[in-house]
Order: sequence, then C-alpha cells, then structure tokens
Amino acid sequence: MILSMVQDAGAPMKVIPLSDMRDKKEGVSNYEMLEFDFKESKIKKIANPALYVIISMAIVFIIWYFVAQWGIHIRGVPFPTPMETLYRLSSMLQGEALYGRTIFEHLYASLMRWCVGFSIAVISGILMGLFLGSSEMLQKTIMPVIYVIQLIPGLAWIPIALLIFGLGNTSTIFMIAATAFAPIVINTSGGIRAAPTVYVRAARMMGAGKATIFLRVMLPSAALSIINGLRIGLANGWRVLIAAEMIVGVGLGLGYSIIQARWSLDFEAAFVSILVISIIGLLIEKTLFSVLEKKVAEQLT
Amino acid sequence: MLEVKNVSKAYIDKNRGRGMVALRNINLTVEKNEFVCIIGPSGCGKTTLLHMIAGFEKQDVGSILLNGKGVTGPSPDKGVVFQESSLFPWMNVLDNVKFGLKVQGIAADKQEEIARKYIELVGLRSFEHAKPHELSGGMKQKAAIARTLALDPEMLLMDEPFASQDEQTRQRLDNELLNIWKKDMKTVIFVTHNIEEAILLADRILVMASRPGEIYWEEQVKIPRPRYLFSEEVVELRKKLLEDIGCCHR
Repeated sequence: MILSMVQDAGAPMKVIPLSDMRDKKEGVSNYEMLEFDFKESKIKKIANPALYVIISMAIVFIIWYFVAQWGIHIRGVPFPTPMETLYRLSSMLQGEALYGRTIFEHLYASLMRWCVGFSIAVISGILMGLFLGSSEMLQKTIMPVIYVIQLIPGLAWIPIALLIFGLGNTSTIFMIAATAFAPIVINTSGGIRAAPTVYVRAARMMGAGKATIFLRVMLPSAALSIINGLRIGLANGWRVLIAAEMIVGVGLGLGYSIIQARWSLDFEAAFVSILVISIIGLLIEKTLFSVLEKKVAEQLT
Repeated sequence: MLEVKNVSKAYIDKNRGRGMVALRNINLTVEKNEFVCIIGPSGCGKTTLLHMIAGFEKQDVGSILLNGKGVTGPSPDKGVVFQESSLFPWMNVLDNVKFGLKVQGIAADKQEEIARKYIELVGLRSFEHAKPHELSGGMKQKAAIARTLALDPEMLLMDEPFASQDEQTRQRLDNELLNIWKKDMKTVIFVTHNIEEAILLADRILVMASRPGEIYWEEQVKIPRPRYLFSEEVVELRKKLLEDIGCCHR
C-alpha cells in the first residue's frame, strides 16, 4: 500500500493512506509526486472572466431599467430603456442615419480627433517629462506649472481653445491634447526621478555616462509609470473629446450626436451615443492598456 | 593596492539641523589579491566606507588611493556587488552581463565571449536567457557577480551580498565565491555582519564599532582553506572575536 507521512504540529507522526488524501482539485490524486501537470479546461479559462463581465453588465442594465421605469411612470418623461436603446443601436449599426451621417462616420470622426490629439499629447508629454526628469532644478521650477495645467478642468479649456483656434476641429484636438498632456508629463518625469539608486549606481560602476544611464537605465525603469500617465491621459482626452464636440461646433462626432439628440428630444439616439462611447473606452482600456501594462510589469518585477 | 588614509565622514540632517559622524579616522591598507572582510553591527558605517571606496560617496577628510591615485568616482576598475538585486530587470542575464562591456566599447563578438565566460564561471550557463525575475535570490547575486567580474576590475567590493539569503544558500554562495576567487584572483573587500561568514572567507578581518564608526580590531586569519565551521581553529577564532574582542558589544 502506498503510504504518506503527515506531520501535525506537536502531534506524533501519523500515517495516512494516499487514497484518503484525494483532493477536490481535478487531476491531483497522487501525492507521491513532487510536481504534477495541471490543466484548467480552456472553456473555463475564457468563460470565468467573461462571466464576471456579463454579470456586471447585467447589473448596470437592471439599474438602468428601473431608473427608466421610474422616469417614464413617475416623472412622465420618455426615458429610453435598455431594450429600446439596444434596438436603436442595432438599427443604426445597420445604417440608419443620425443627423445625416451613419453612426460609423460619427465614431470615426471622434476617434480620429482623439487619435490626433492624444498623439500630440503623448509625444510632447513624454518629451517634456524626460526633459523635466533629467534635472532636479528643472523639475522644481517647471513642475508647478504642469500641476496647475493638470488642475484646469477639461471644459475650462473651451474659451482658450476658441480664442486660439476658433470653432471647429482644431479646437477639439487642442483640448484633447491639453488635458492629456499634464498627467503624461507628471508620470514620465516622476518615473525617471524614481529610478532605483542601485540601478544608477550599478551603471555608473560599469562606466556608463550620463546619456547612457538616462536612456538605458532610467527610461526603462520608468516604463510602468509612463504607461500609467498615458492611461490617465487617455481617459482625460476621451472625456473632454465628447464634451468639446458638444460645444465647439464640429457637425460630426459622438459628442455632437448627443447634443443634437438633446435639442431634437431624441433621447434614444443620445443614449446610443453614450453606450458607444463607453464601449469604445472600455475596449481601449481593456485591450491596449491592460495588455501593455501586464507585459511591462512582467519585465520590471 | 588600496590605501585609505585618515578618512572621516559626517552626515548632515538639514531638516533637523543636526549632523552625525558616520566614520572617524579610518586607516586601512589592502594588498593586491587580498580577501578582506569588514564586520560590524548595522549602522556602523561599513557600507558607507565601501561606498566611498567605490566612489559613490566622497569622504569629508582624508584620502582614498587606489594604486597611488585618488578615487574620484565610480569606475569599472572598482567592481561593486550590491546588497540588493541590482540587475536590470528588463534585460536577461546575458544582456545584463554584456551591459558594462558594451558601455566600454568592446567589440560585439568579444562581448558575447567574455559574458559567456563569466556566466559559466558562476554556474548560470543554462540561465543566460532568463530574466532576473525568473531567478532565485542567490542566482541573482551570482549573475551580479558575473556582471561585475566581466569588467575585469582591479578590486571587488561586496556589500553584504548574501545577507538576504537563507542560511543554507548563504553558505553555498560563500563557498562558490571562494572558488571563483581562486580561479579569478582579485582584491576583495567584503562587508558583512556575519562573523562566521567573515572567518570562512577572509585573509584578514577588520572589526568596526559604531557611533562613531571606527576600525578597532584587525585579525589576520591564518587558518588554511578550505575552512570548516566546526573545526577547532574556526570555533576558537569565533570565540575570540565574539567574547574577547566583543564584536557585538561595541
């Protein structure tokens, strides 16, 4: 008979037959081995996280449903229900026009503006962050300005944008870049300043000069912090994009659709736009950033 | 040859407006290829002393000379192995070891050859493509040793390199370090708070006291290697250092 020794704390050694030690875990039945292969079924691997997403979506939709019912019956307003909104979304996806354009055109216009604005913020923000991170003096003198910029609410940029660029696309892009810029700068330079002393000393000991240390030691060790900055910048930019489109007068885009729907009392269309905005935001966050962060975190820990 | 002459150092706490003398009047000479251990309680300034020899910090008074030339900053001839893991986590072992060689402007194929040689020497050949996070603590320190040795330094400065390892691993690493030292002769200054470790490794032990940091005892260890922890001479020396010299009471 196969026997295994189990030692209780303080108690005398007990001998337990292996057959009694079967665990609930699948595939583990033989405790004689030191290591064993354990495979989770592929369906479970995908289904588990998907299940959580579905549950959280369901909660949102249920709350939405009750709020809509309350709006319709108590307040007597045409509050769109989840079903109506999804139905309208599907008909728009099939080509129903929204203020003369398809939903895809609105989405594309918004995404393009955001891409351009965010790209400007990424390039200028990272360069500025590296510049400020390179010296303590610069950090101390210029960083307060960046903190002030960060404190300006997205919509407060509107008068400034209108004065500089007038109505239209450029103003929107400027606002996106302006709100995404500060968190990118702060996180980039902060990450550089926080590079562990021991890495810098090791590099100096190996004879590396200032430029090499900056580019090959401090910059990689700041990667996670930079990604965090991009992430905050992305969310800021996305939020202000919609707000800007509502006000700056661009004639196309998801924010424009929301404000048009509000004027024409087509609340369903407004809800569809909000739904699309949330889905896109979630997708960018979950696909691009989560993956990127995981990859970099793996490298850095 | 390394000469530390009348070195003192104080730290100033600007916020509290107070200064503290970390090291006072340190004198020390280390011959070529000598293995010197510095022991002392935490906070006695032994790491500070090592960092000043390495060139990371500057002494307030006195001079530190390597082969007659003053130490002005860190450089590859003074190789340092740090207490914590100092490998770059975004590079694999091979790239980490090659980093210093690349910085020195050594030809690419030569870099590869030198790096491989030292990775082999510390016994990490099958891990050369592993990232630091895939290595155990002991392996990380061995990789760090390989990286430092690859620079072919004149001196190896080791700052409690195995202090965070468990006891068994530490003993194994000590033995491996001695083997490496035999194959690749270097001057070694090894800082530790572990008396046994110092006795097993060193040609000479310097005992430091804290507040202020001073070297107050020097012990030549004449026990032939390999040394055994429970051999009479080792036990005797341990007793002497602990009881008569009072390493732990100053």
